[in-house]
Amino acid sequence: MDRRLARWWGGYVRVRLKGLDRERFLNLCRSRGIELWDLRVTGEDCEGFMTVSGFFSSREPQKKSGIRLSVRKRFGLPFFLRRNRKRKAFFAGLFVCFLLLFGLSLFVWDIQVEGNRRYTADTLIRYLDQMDIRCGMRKSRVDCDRLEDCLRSDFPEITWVSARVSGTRLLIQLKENEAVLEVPVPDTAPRDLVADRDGVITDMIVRSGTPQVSVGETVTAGQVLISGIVPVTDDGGEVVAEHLVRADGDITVRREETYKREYSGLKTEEVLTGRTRFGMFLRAGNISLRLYSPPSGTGSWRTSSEERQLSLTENFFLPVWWGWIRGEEYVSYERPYTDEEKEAAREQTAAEFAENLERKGVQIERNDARIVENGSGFQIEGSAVLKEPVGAGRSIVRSEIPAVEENDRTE
Amino acid sequence: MGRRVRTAAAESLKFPRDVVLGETLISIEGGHSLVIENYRSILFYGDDCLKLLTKNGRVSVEGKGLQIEYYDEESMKITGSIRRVELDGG
Repeated sequence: MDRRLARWWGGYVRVRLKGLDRERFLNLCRSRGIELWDLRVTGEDCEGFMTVSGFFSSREPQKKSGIRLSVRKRFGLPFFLRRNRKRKAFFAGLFVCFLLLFGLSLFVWDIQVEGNRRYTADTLIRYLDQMDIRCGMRKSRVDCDRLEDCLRSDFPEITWVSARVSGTRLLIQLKENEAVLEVPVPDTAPRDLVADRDGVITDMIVRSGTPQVSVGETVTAGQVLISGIVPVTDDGGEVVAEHLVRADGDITVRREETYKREYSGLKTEEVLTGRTRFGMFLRAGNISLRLYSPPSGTGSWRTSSEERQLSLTENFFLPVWWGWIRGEEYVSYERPYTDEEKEAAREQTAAEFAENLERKGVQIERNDARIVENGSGFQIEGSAVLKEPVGAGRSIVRSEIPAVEENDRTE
Repeated sequence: MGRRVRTAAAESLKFPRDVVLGETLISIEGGHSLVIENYRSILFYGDDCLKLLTKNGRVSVEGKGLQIEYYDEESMKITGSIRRVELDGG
């Protein structure tokens, strides 16, 4: 490709080799580095392509071999310019086009972030916007070193960042820390473990603290399950001291939960008529041009579009966006739900309820849902028996701590 | 270095002979394209025949509508309908 471009840039000609000793001419050109390509024999003569510089350098081989070269056709930029030398407006337009491209190349027209996993590209681009780094700014105003420093300091999870301007693009590559930055310090403050919902206790494992409830007992929200106060008793069973610990344990409760979802009596259906429309749009800055055929028929239209940014090379983006628009006509109407659809809605409601709870680690022992008709529509009512972990930490209130002094025991 | 020494070195050290000894290398793609490396000069070029001089003799390519797509100091690419390739004096 580079070679073809170089030939076009310097100009090349198709020549006809007239004479008997063309082999000698070809060998002489080869030894002098004169390029000839796409050679073919046409009757008595031979035709091929030569660069303009090669053509002028081949005078000596021509003399030595007795070959005469006649130019059949000229190609390339020098000949194009010469052919069109009288078209002033064309060259003026070309000049303005290059001037415009040069002007546009002084600005940033695209920002790309690579290597981000925790922070989304939107988050980082919003952050850049706060730093006055955005599409449309001058490239000379982008301070990549400062940008790297700010990203590293304001996003502690980013361990390595590289920012550079290539073409009209600001490329930011970063690496995020995959290890834990700080070892979490366990909270050792004394606390009680209290129920955060009602239920019947089915399993109970106490790791530290004094159990206040037992398996099979019904608890209500707010009730202390494991107390953080551990009493120290003497031989007579009398409390002589209290130790405060951080109550900890695994407690599971069984409880019942109900759920409900209402449906209107009519279901909206959208049916595609098969009519489609195509169009395209062009947007340059705030100016947009939309070529989209007018709608026909009485239905509504659902449109989707795909936008792309114009780029001359991989990194030379321009502030021009274009894309395709596709429209599909549909007709909507309302109809009552069928029995199958109601059954499907019931199953879906029950499945969604179960899925939400299972994601939180809740076991479901029973899950029943039924359809209840009402005047305007119907509703799905369900009840489920769940087994789930219970217990939330609550700091020990001072008044709960009995006033047993250490020196009382020693006396 | 003499030819015998280079030949022995190429054989014992398993060096490619076209690199060490400058022997001709011919690659043919189907019957429409041929690349020849390490040739010395063009002896004859016609529409149906192309003869080249190599270090060890002559190579003759016969066919129809033979075109030289490119040629330089080291290699040449011939396209067209190639029917026969003949090595002479190798």
